[in-house]
Amino acid sequence: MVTSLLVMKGIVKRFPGLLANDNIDFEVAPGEVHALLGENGAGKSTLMNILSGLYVPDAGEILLRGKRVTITSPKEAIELGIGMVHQHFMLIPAMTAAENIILGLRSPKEPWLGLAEAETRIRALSERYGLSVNPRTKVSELSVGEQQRVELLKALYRDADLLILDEPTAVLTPEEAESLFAIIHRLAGEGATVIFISHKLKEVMRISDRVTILRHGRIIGTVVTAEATSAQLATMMVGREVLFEAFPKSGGGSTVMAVKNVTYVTAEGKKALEGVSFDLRESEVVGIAGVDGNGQSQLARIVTGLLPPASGRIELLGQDMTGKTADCFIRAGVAHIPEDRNKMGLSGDMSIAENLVFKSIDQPPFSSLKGFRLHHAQVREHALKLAGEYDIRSAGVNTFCRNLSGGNRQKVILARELSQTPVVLVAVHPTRGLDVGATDFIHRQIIDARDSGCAVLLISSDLDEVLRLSDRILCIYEGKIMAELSGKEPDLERIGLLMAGKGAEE
Amino acid sequence: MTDQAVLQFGLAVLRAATPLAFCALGVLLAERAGVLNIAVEGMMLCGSLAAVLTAVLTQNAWLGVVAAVVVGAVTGLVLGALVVLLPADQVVSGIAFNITAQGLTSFIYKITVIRGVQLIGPATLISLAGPAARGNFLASISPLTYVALVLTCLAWVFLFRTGPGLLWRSLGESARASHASGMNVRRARMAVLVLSGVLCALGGASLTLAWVRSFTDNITMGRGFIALAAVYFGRWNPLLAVLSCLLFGAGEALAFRAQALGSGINPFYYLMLPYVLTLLAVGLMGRAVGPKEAGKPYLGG
Repeated sequence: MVTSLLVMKGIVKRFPGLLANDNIDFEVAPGEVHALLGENGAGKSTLMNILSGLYVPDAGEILLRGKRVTITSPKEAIELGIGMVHQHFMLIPAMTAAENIILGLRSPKEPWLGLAEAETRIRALSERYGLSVNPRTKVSELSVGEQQRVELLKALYRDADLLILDEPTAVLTPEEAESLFAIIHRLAGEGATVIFISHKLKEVMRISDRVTILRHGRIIGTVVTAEATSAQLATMMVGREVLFEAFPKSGGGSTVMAVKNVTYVTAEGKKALEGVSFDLRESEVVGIAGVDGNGQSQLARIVTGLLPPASGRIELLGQDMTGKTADCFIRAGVAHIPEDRNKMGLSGDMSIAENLVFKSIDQPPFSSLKGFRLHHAQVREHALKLAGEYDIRSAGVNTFCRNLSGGNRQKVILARELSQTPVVLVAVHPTRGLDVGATDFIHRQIIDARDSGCAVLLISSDLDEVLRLSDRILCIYEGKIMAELSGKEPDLERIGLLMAGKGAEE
Repeated sequence: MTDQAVLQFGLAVLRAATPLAFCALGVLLAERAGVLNIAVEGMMLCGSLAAVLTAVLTQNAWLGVVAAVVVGAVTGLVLGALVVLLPADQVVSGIAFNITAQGLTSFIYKITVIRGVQLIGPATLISLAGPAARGNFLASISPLTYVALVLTCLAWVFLFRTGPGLLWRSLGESARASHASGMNVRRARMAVLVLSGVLCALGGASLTLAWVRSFTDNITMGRGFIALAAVYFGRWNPLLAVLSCLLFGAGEALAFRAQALGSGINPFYYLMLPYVLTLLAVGLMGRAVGPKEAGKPYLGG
């Protein structure tokens, strides 16, 4: 029998009001790629933060290479050869890749920085593991994928042989994810052990040797990936069969919004959108499929009045809305689920009830005298009603939104936007980072809105989501609409090619 | 202007710039480590008073400098207790510190100094711009000015060429990343503030001992804030920041010189010069991006 590299026994971690890790036993063999699978909030990150010294467990013990260890700080974890690449990178944008990598280490030429020696070593490591990064480039000038490589190099530079990757593909484009998988294979090939945290089944099936599944802070089981099926893992993960079937499609009615030949040029002079035209019809979901950063952000802001287009026209119910303010768009019935729910969608330091009336506080019944006299009772009543309808789970409607989980935050936004019975709903990445249950709920709400007549523009880089909800699909690439496809039995291969910028109409 | 006049003007510029340079270094090092030191003005005042009182009582200017260093370290600890340990808001704490320092220094000065003894007097030799060195420019420069110049170069080498300097900068850019790479953020920032306090107090000491040679209420007159602007104007680089101090110092020297020449213009207009210059410089500079986390407390550990 192979001895385990790492054994975690009976790990317990409590946070106020939450048992994040409930008596967890976890074991990793040397040289394997071990996936840690579970929904958001299952306790995966907590367990790994304990291993990397950011949290101290309330109970339990850790054995590394057969020896009992206590890890009370990230520094101790690093000394034990444990390197963690966090979901949110801990890099300093104003410094170069090399400076970030050697940060906190003793230089061989103490007290001097020894940057030249460091760069030589970094280049050697890059070569060995296929992690190409220029050590002299400032991190702020690197792409997200490259920044992740800097994080990996940082761990490898410290001789880490147990690498923990916390949802590493969440921030990557599909291409970048592909090259990350290649790197992980190479790392394992060179003798490193990788723990891969994820809630994406496909990835786990693809790259791991074994999978440990967590649910509600408990271990459900560990399986050899090759002997498991996706359906089996999904069941273990959520405790029920999840079968995402596409919703029945709708034909759509008369045109509600028309986007005509819209172009947008960024401050850097880059064409973000070029000649974009499409119609949104009553009772119809139009999905914009594309890899992030192909103009979707700008498009979403243009059709909600947050950004004036460089040229082109936006018409709403036959009226010209080009150049009108966001306020005019809201009054005309355009609802918006923005891409960054925490920055644009909500105010974290205000309550659920307050967030729910952001767009209607100056109107009756929430206020009178043009908004100068507030009616708190009505605001509260409205919040209680919506919290029930939209299943917003919290300690009460006066809870600050920052204390809610991602899913519940999104439900607050959804409730606010849909309770206004909008004419048009612009939903941008509406379920990004949410667990299966919340995703399904939000999808159903969007379809309900469609069925009651709303025209929905769905902008998402999650192709499964676009396919499930859309009645028509537009593929966007480098700011251009490549083609329009029917939502009924769409040609997946063609969409994949269009998203990658290949083969428009031939 | 005669050669002698040019020489005297040069000395006046250095005299005026030295207190600014010490304070600018103190502010810059604190901001590079993520702490906004608005309290620079108050720290400078405390240093001025400690230096004057000690120099008068002991009749030794160098002991005055030592006293300023000690008092500066204490002011750093006090500010650190507020903004690092509590942690209270850095801007509000800094302003409160300044107001307190102004009241406290005026009070202490009034109860300790016997009327008429406020001048440091010729027995204290630290101001070398005296007649003994007439004609010899380099010997006429205060030793404190040389100290400031050496510290400026050391600060640059430290920040950009040494390992601990990299850590120091990382504290101001991302305390989280520094913590993750094994640093005790709070302890490091406490140490930084003690050093910053010492430097700002030295600024005060060089103002009173090497230039004005007396203490009056609020003698610093916003020079700490001018130093703050110099850091901004120098883009958080010690060499550039001290160059900006020279520019602002020149403004001040010019104001005194013009006033002395007399031209019928109200002298108060001349006295405004360094402040107007500061405002202009900051305005011309436009947006400058400094250490990302300056002003943000770290709650992680």
